[in-house]
Amino acid sequence: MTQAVSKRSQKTRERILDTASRLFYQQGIRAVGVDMIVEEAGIAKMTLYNHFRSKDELVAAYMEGQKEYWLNWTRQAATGNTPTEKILALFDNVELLLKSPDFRGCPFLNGCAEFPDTTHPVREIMVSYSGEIHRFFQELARDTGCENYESLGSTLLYLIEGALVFGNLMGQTSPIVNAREIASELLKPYT
Amino acid sequence: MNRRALKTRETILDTASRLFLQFGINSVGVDTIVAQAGIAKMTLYNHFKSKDELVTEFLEREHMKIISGMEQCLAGTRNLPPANQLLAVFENFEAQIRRPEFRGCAFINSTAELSESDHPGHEVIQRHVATVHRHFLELAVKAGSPQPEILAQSLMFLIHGATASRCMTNNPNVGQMARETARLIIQENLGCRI
Repeated sequence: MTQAVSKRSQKTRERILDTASRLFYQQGIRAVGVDMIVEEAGIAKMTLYNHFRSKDELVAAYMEGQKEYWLNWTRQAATGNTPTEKILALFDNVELLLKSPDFRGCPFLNGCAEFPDTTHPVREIMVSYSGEIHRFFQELARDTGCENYESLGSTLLYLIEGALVFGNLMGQTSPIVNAREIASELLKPYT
Repeated sequence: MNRRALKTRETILDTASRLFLQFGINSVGVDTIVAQAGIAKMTLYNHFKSKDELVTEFLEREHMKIISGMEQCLAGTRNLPPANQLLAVFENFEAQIRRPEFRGCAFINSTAELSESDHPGHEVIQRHVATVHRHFLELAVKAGSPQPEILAQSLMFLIHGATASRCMTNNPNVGQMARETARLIIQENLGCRI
């Protein structure tokens, strides 16, 4: 394959994945068929199958992409000079996220809902993502100097994830604001 | 509705509920439900106008099931102080999410799957969440919390965050951590040990 062709092929792959990712997140993975993806991406069905052998492979690539995106997002959203500031900044950024008209909940939790069978290979990506997020929160908690940082890290993660889920169920952003207040109270001894 | 019709309706709902919980709402079509329930498609539509109505009824039943479980737990612990009753709810929750066949919360899962914001199921979901919240708030008030709303909300976040974590990590021990965190939150809010 010449370089020009391989570059073009790479671009096509990206276009398919971008289109599929947008549709999967907005409408749900199960609700979006391969036909809808090829139509939206403006490509032939065969082209899609040249890049992804099956819809499952496309779904796995989507979840891997989400994992990379949200891990980066989380690291970048934790801005501030102190560990406490960083943690609270995460709550502020999640609030902005919830206010976005495109927000349709946590993509990993949504993926679990659509693939309830825990032995499905895609579920490994959710496990790996939540493991990394958990570690990130425990590191932040440890940096505060809290002795029982493992427990603090888990509590903060439950708070932020719970407020996100609760807010999404109720269609409200006030839960994340309240969760921030609770987190700020929990972090007071280490500020 | 006569008895036989009522029984048919129940059979359809039982079958649909089992399938929705096991495979997700969007993965299960009306054809699968009628085949598994051993009824004609027309019979299903005599009882439920559409799949949306079936999904809404499924959520309504899940709502009643979970709330009656919670109320039973509270009735069984009515001689305990309210703070311990709050903790008992988390013990009950722990037992529920520890089950190996746990496939996530029907309400969280449906929110993920019902992408149309005008689906009638959303009303049931919000009513369910509000009912759990009200129970927490009543207990927080009874326990003499100086900030009952904060306590109730903290516990709501905890229970949702732990459910999310249970789904994503597939770790059955999440409930245990959630229960211990609940204990700390309750103690902190009430300024007492339980």
